[in-house]
Amino acid sequence: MTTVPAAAEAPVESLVGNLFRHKAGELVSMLTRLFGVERIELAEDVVQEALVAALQIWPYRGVPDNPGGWLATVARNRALDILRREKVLHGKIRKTGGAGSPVFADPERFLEDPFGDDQLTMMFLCCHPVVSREAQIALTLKTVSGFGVAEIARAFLVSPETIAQRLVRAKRRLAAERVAFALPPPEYCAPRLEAVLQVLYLLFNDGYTVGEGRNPVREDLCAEAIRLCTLLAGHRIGDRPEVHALLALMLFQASRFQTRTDPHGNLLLMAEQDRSLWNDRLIQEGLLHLGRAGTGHTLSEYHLLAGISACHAAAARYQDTDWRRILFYYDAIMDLHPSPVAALNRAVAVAMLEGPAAGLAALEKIRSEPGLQSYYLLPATFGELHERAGDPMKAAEFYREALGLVQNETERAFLHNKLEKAQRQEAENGAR
Amino acid sequence: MAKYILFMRGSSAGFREMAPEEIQRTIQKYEDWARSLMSQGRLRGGEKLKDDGVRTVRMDNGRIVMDGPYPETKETIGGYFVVEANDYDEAAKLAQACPIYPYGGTVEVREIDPDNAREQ
Repeated sequence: MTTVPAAAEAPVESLVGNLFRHKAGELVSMLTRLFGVERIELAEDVVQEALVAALQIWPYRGVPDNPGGWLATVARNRALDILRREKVLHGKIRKTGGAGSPVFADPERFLEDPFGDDQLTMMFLCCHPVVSREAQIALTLKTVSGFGVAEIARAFLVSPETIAQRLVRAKRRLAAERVAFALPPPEYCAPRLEAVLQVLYLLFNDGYTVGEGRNPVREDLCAEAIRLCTLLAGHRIGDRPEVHALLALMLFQASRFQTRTDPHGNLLLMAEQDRSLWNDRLIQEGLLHLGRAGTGHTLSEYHLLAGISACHAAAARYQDTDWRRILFYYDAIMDLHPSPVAALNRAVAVAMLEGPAAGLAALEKIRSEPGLQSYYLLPATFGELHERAGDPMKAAEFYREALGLVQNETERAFLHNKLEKAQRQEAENGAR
Repeated sequence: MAKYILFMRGSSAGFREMAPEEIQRTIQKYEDWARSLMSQGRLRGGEKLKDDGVRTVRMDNGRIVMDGPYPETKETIGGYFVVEANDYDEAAKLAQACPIYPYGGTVEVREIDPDNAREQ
């Protein structure tokens, strides 16, 4: 004996960031191209084997100088083994008339991805219209992003079995429909790209929603949505105005990630956040992509939402917010894709610009919208505007209504504070 | 100081379900553990054993027979570390900080017999 493990000779670089996740996504994409869409699971197994090999070897020998390269080599060798074995089988079959495939002839040639197409192709594959929207998100996270089933389940607050089932069904569907591993042809590109963007935006929003307590997996969802969108925007197929717009929107929102709650996890409104803590690097990057989004003639909802988010980012103080411009964007959204939630946000902008009475009038118009009946922010906004209009009694009434609709403790605590404040105000008014 | 071998025993059955992030985190824990052993000047080496070809040779009814290879669910020694410690308790303490346990693994701590007779 004794061989001193590499780890013992010199302290090795710590494993950085989400190396394993990202490498897993990269390799699963590449191997899915190699094995075919009907064998995504084989690609996943091969990659898992490589990761497990690292877990079994690195503790003794230390982390290699190029950990990502090590994992790729192990996965490739394993994949080549499988293909060589199949080639032998295949050769025997061919004698009886089976079709040949170029992959079997020279598999090594198919292990390169010079244009970085594989992960993008995988994203389009996961967001294919034959797969349900829920499954599109789960499949993207599992294959392109290297998340585990349990992690996905935790992020969406469902059981691991549910996620596993979703994944199995999605893979079966893709196989049954004989979907090819290829970027969409130009004539289908726009709708397919739209689906990918929707999945990325949902992914981001799911992560961004303030839930109970701190959930690091949800922060990872936001980071991953931004990573994938950056990948997309940097590739010829995704270098389009609406992609840059969505990326800008996510970057602006992410710049406020840490300031949306106080140290106790309580929700903080835009007016209450410490703007000096907003992440300036993300804002700058968002502005860069917003600029790129402005080239060409496309105007998507992402453009308008990014524009609104940029207005907030640009205001040094809450009272400096350009509400006129924000209202202009909301009006444009109502023209483009009218939705009750957009109308609700528009009413807030109206109130900021023309006073609470005007805001309340705008809210009245959407009060009976079926889509808003279980949405706690409708009564909460009513409450807020009544409070600002100097009517704490009405405000309290609406806060109580909102409390009946909240989904988690963070929202409940937020509304409780509001209600107490309104009740105090009411009592003071009564005493006067 | 005496030398001790830490035999790392476990099965890889649960590894199939581990998420990439979790695998990375676990490797990082091993790194941290090894580094802490080194900074205390305790780590004297270690080797990984090959996973395939685990067999047991034994006598059965007067005949030498060979069992295995075993399925991956079977616990085997995956590798070992050699550490220096003042006494057995201290060696055991070093082993207690190993990250193997959450995954069902165990560590067997054995002192290497210093073989005083030969040295004399």
